[in-house]
Amino acid sequence: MIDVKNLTVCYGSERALDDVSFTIGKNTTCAIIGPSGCGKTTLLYCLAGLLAPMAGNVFVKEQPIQGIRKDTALILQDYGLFPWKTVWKNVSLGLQVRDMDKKQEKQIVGSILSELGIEQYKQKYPMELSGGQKQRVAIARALALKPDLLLMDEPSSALDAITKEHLQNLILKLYKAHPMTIILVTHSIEEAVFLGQKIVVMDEGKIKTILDNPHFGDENLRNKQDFYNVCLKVRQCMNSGDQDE
Amino acid sequence: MNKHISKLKLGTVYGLLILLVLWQLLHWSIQSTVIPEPYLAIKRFISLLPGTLLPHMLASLIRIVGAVVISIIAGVALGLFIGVNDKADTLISPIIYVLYPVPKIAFLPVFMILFGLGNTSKILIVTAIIIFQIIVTTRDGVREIPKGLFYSARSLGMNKWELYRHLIIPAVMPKIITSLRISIGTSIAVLFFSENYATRYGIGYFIMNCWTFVNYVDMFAGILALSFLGYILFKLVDYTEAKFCRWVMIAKEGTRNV
Ligand SMILES: Nc1ncnc2c1ncn2[C@@H]1O[C@H](COP(=O)(O)OP(=O)(O)O)[C@@H](O)[C@H]1O
Ligand SMILES: [Mg+2]
Repeated sequence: MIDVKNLTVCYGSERALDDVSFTIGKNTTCAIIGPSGCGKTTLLYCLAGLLAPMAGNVFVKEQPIQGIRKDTALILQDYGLFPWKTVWKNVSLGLQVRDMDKKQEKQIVGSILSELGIEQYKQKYPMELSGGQKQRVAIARALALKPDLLLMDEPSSALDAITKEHLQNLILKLYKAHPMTIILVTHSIEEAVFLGQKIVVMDEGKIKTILDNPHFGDENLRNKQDFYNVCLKVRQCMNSGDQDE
Repeated sequence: MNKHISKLKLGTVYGLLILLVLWQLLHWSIQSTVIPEPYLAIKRFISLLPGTLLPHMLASLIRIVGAVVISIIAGVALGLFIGVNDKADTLISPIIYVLYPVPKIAFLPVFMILFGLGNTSKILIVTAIIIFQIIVTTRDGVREIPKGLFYSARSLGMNKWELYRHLIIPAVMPKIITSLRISIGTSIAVLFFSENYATRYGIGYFIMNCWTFVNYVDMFAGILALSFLGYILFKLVDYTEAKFCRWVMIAKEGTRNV
């Protein structure tokens, strides 16, 4: 589904991504993990078609990415909701831009809001919501587009520990209910192991390791020893190399 | 929200009462016809309103609204253009910064020679004075929009016009309203001055004419009319804000409750 080939991105003279390559299968999930500033957001923006790479290519469904793709949805780290639009208007915006007929738009928005349990906030403005509620609105806005590729930038980084786990459970549930490819960027090992079928470990604009996570998909994974084994493995991958330097 | 509005109304009544008391005290202490008794002035205002004051107020209102509409349309358009376009900004902004502090009111004679003695020159002088603030506010408003919102909008598939409609214009709207509030105060002052010349209509003319005839009660009725005009315009801006920037009102409520 996604084929990233020798991707290089520079900001001025600084190399944010350096010859990055990997592939992701259709309707699978992938977590990209790495320390702050390693180029995760940059990579996600390239996948979304918001940034043009200096070298290399991103292919989605064998098509090279040139600008915004209709079936890709992006959820930004700070949610990217418009403060002047109500929850309902925020969620329907993508459909409105796609010139969908009003009746169908209303039906889709209504059902997605109730699926995410935020129907009662539909007339509220984003600033009247908690972080977790805002994140749900952002997810609703993305899912309303019925994307085949969902990109998320640190979906839970601004949330408290309990809300974080609720949100991760929700993402897993939504993934199981709606077939799509999910790529999420995170700096939390637990999040990567819970939500990533494939885990890409990055550091300083490069890929260090790509791990497969055979335990992905289990809602109760956090209660099992396997979870911590994979977490440990990811942690060791992230730390490897540091000692050699 | 309702509570907020009723509080505002109560505030207005309170303000008016204090004003009346101060006016009455001033009248008593000065003991001169220059400050007539509020009761007389208000009575005169009411009796002059239908036949005399309203046409003057209407003439002034048309000039102010004309100037504000031209300034908003041209000022916002130019402000958005240089806010979005860096090249235009480097070319146009220096010119605006040089012109901004020039006291344009001093050019009133030039305006009257170039644009005639009628409404055109009066509307244009007010426009020339308030438009700069609107241009600069709009441009700065565009620049303050978080970059993430542009990414968010583009990733939803918005084209250029949709970006303006859903992102840029709503984002700068509260700032335009604020600059409008300041502009209205300025435009009334400028208009008052410009109505002293070459016109027989307008509330500025009426006030100065009463002064010439040493008719202070009528003059105060005129001042009341001018204040009333300003009040109505302010209320109109408030209404526009409540209607188009509800999110800002809610944000203000929120911070007040914290
Ligand atoms: N718009 C930008 N201009 C210049 N440098 C940037 C910009 N965005 C990111 N960078 C730099 O690129 C590197 C990677 O940033 P980013 O992709 O945001 O990392 P992450 O999301 O992993 O924290 C950082 O060193 C950052 O300083
Ligand atoms: Mg980031």
